[in-house]
Amino acid sequence: MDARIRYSVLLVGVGIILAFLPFDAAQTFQLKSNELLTRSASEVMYFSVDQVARAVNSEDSTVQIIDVRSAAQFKECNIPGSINIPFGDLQNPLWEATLNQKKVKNILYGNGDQTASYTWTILTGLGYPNNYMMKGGLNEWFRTVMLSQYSGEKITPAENARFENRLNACKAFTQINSLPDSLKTKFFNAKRLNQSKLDGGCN
Amino acid sequence: MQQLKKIKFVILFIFVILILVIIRNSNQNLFKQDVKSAIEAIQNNSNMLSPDQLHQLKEQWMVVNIGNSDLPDSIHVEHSIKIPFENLLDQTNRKILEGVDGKLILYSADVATASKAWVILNQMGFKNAFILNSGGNREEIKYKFQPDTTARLEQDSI
Amino acid sequence: MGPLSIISGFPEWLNLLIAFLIGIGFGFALEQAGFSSSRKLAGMFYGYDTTVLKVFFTAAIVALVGSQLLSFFGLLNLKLVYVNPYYINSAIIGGVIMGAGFIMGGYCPGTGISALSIGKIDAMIFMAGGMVGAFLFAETYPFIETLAMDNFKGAMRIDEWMGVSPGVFTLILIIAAVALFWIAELAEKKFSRADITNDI
Repeated sequence: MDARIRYSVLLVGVGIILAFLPFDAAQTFQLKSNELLTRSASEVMYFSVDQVARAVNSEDSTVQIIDVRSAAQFKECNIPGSINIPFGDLQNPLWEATLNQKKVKNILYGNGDQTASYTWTILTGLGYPNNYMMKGGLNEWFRTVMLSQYSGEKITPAENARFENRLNACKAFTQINSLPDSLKTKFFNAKRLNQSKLDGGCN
Repeated sequence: MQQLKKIKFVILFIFVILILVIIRNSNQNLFKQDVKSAIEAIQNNSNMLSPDQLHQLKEQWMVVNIGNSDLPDSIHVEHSIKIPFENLLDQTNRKILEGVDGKLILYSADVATASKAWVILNQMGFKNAFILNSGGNREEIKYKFQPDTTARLEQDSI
Repeated sequence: MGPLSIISGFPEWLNLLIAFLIGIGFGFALEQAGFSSSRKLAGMFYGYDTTVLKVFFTAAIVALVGSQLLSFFGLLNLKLVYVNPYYINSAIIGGVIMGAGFIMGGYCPGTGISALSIGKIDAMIFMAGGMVGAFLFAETYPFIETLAMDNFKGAMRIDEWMGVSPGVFTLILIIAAVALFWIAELAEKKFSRADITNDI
């Protein structure tokens, strides 16, 4: 009988400590606060709109573009190749494998800088590697890429390359987003299915 | 007493765990807040204050300018201090932040900096931290996408 | 920080080797607890032997307590631990079918294999039956797919559903377990069967 009482007391005792734990470590930031601050203050996390445009044009498989806006906004228009993880859905375990990974660079974007900054800080704080954001968001994308225009007499090779890059990205963006709604839904569902296959787990 | 003697190792073990938990909890450099609360506050926009709301506040407040540029004219200067973002958590600055009475209002011209700082401070337990919204909704899309109905992808690429 | 395989990017064979060693340990523990005897497992149903309940419930609680303490001290990242997605319909229907097979065969899949490995003939037949069942399931899957996929709830956790912290849920479960163990011992006395022994 002794052993039973001993184990019962042990388990109940540890259980009481667990019940009164001051914080749930699985739901809190893993990084030290000054480390997170140092990373937030650096500019390393930024991708410029031009860099993202280049990734879109070359269908770069080392980056994953992530739209953190609402599903409705995503459906209206989004950067080609991006997937939609609405900010409010961030903690859905479904996205864990996409957000917390070591294989590709995740580039976050919203309409402006704010939502992407929140998302970046939360993900980095949680200890997830490989998260970046597109500086300026979709507004900057529209301003630079979609409304890109060249006027002038002479064009240097560098300018030419930049302009061509923007023009191609603009074309891809327009083509994908001009699809009729039914095709768009089909396209997103196919993408989502591919994504969930990557999720893995021990099914 | 006899009973207690039999379970003294058990009690010792529980005691050790308790001590370890207390030591862990007293670490200043660890985050201890639930991420969910921050996400909810951001979604409700309850972490933002406009200058008008600021001036109507009954309680005290202090604007902390973490950006490079100066405050807009609409804010009273006597209520503000300037701390560079990267030094926000230095020993002395942390003391200043902890000593703020009432609301702690973060401002930077670049909204990204204030947003990052807010998440960090909120998760450190500064429940009185807010962001000063100095002009309009930054998350509004300013451009309307114009679909090009003549463009069609080939079927088999879908 | 754990889980091991994700942090260190072990090669495939090392992952499998670790799994193999853990599997041997699990099988050894099952055999040591006497679970390779169908009498012990059926005893749970008839109430004369509740070892199964005690062993598995204790294992669950110890794992729960341990993982949460490790998580609190930053040694284990609970977010990386896979949570099985929950399909209500298939969980209930499959659970009933599996339970019936459990009573009739006297084994669950894990204990069946550990009994098989010590050469029990009934376990061999049990495992063959299991294989046939798996084959039939795979072949008829298209017909029952809608049923199997119905009422999908995702990776759900009871503590989140109840709205309490994981620690509080653990405490509730521990108290329930201690109470259940006590009731189980009473049941063992009440339904004791002298004619059933642990001799092979």
